[in-house]
Amino acid sequence: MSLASFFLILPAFLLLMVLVDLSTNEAQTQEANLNSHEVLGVATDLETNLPFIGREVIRDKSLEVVNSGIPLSNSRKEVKEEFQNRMDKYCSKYADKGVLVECIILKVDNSYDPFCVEVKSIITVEKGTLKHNVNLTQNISLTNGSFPIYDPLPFVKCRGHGGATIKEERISYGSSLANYLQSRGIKNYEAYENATSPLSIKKCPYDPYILHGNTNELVNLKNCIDNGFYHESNDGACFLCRLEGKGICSHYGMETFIIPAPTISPCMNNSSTAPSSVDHVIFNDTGHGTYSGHPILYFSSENHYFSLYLDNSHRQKYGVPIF
Amino acid sequence: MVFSIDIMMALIIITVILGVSADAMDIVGSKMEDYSYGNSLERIAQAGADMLVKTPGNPENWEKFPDVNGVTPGLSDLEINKKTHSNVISMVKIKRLEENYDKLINGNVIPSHCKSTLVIYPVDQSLEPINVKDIGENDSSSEVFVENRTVLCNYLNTTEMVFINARDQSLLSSQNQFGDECPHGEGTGSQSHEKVDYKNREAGWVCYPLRVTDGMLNSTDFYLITDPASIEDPVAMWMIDRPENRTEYTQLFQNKPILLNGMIEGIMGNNSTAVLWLHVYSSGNPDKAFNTHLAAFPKGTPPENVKVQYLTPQPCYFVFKVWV
Repeated sequence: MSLASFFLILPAFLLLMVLVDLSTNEAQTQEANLNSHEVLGVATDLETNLPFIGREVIRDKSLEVVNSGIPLSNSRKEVKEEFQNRMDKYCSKYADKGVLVECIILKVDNSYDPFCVEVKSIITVEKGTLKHNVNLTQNISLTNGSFPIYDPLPFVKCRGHGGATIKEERISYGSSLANYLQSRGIKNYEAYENATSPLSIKKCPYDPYILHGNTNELVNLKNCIDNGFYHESNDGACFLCRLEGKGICSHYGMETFIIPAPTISPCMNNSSTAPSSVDHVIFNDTGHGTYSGHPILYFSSENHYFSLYLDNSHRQKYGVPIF
Repeated sequence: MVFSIDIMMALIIITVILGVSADAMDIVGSKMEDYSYGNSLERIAQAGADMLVKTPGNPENWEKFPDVNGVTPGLSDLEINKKTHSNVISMVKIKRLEENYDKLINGNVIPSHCKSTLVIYPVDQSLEPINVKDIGENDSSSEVFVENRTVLCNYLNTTEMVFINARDQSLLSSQNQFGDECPHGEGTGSQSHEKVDYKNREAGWVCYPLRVTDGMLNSTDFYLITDPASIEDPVAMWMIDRPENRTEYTQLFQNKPILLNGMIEGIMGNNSTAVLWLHVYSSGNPDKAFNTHLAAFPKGTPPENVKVQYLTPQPCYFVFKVWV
């Protein structure tokens, strides 16, 4: 009889099993839905924060070179490795929430815009059985952000020649730039005694660049120099190569003016020459890359005369009268 | 014994058959549900709205293409979303979609046999709704599905040329780099523009450059707007000039947006491109600090629509209706 009762209960048992199965399925579906939102949210969060973390890495690497004067041996690799370390740390904070997050920095390289650095990465977010992958290509701006990014090149080049220092948000060379040029056997190196150049990278608004020489008084050129703007340039080094201490490179890069100290008399006659005051000309130590330019007086006040030297091709680029 | 072994066996077999059939019915039922859901209008409407709101389309900059053949539309604003990552849709893409609605939507976003309308209503009722596609509904259709999403949209397609964030700056304990080196020069001369110092409450200037071209002047209205509109600072004034032609002619703010096109045109003269400078003078009193925007609105924007809030994306209802 007991066996008979057992067999009678069996249908009820089976029905119960089906019911349990149904409710488990429903719970699983709901959980998957919630997880899916969380996974997407984490991926978006990471995508938003990546450029900010990247910009901090670039700033710190640049400061490292500025402070030590020692260039990076392979900036793309070193920035990528540091970036990877920071992303690993950032991703680990999600572990407490039960979300497995991984961000692989695939490549750090030049962007089409010389004022940006391109980063390629893969974000993988995993929770339970859900896995979400995003391939990203993002540009990190060197100019727009809450903090400035310093140009490391002058500090590398002047190391061992007296060193460049930071004074009033500009790079002050003292005798180091003249010493550097003298060590390379460049003529009229004295012109760069106490020269200065911009410290942080800012994009020049005077575009097209011929606007610099718009008037006889060269007010736009003066304002560009006062602000320490950088210009796009085929010959100038890109930011990543500047971290490696290269004055020129094959990438599309940027250039700025290195300004000789003001003189107390307009003693410079037009036939005098000195290395052209463009950073990629002065810091080009590969053969005969440093060529001369003729002086241009762009401003004078009381007994101070402010000039810079420019060769004809740069005069043409900036709309300044050709010598 | 009525309850024989035979009956018991029969009961077992029947129970097993019943159980298996119930399970099979369950499986078939859920499959049918999946299938019907897969083809249901509800899913089509949801997926279509998702596609339009959340993706930039393929290619991402399709709104710039003269020919929309082979384009999969999406309205997400790539530039703004890269920075903020919220659901911001692009006004330029909406306008392009409006021009080629049937070609872009039918067969790409919803199946060709479905019909749809798309209207975007700004939450701010002073702004007109955008009828991207609005046709009368077919009375004979038994089912209409409506997807209503809240999105952000740069409704007036404005561009901020210069933003002087003096209110945030005045709250900082240290004086950061605020404004660029002005062509008027620093120093103590009467014509020089010494920088404002909120920390020491010293009056001065904030100056920023902006690049203007002929094309921009023809297609946009430039406005100078302050936030708050009514300024408490008694000494506040502004001017625009260019390094080649500096002026000392300052003007007072008018507690309303100021149209600058005439002035900019005069300053540019015959030049097709010029870099102008906006100079704003203030007392350096942090309690009376105000923000200044120089913004480009599309040509012909009614003056009542020139407001600070329209410089940031506006919340809108994105209403997508689908029926057969």
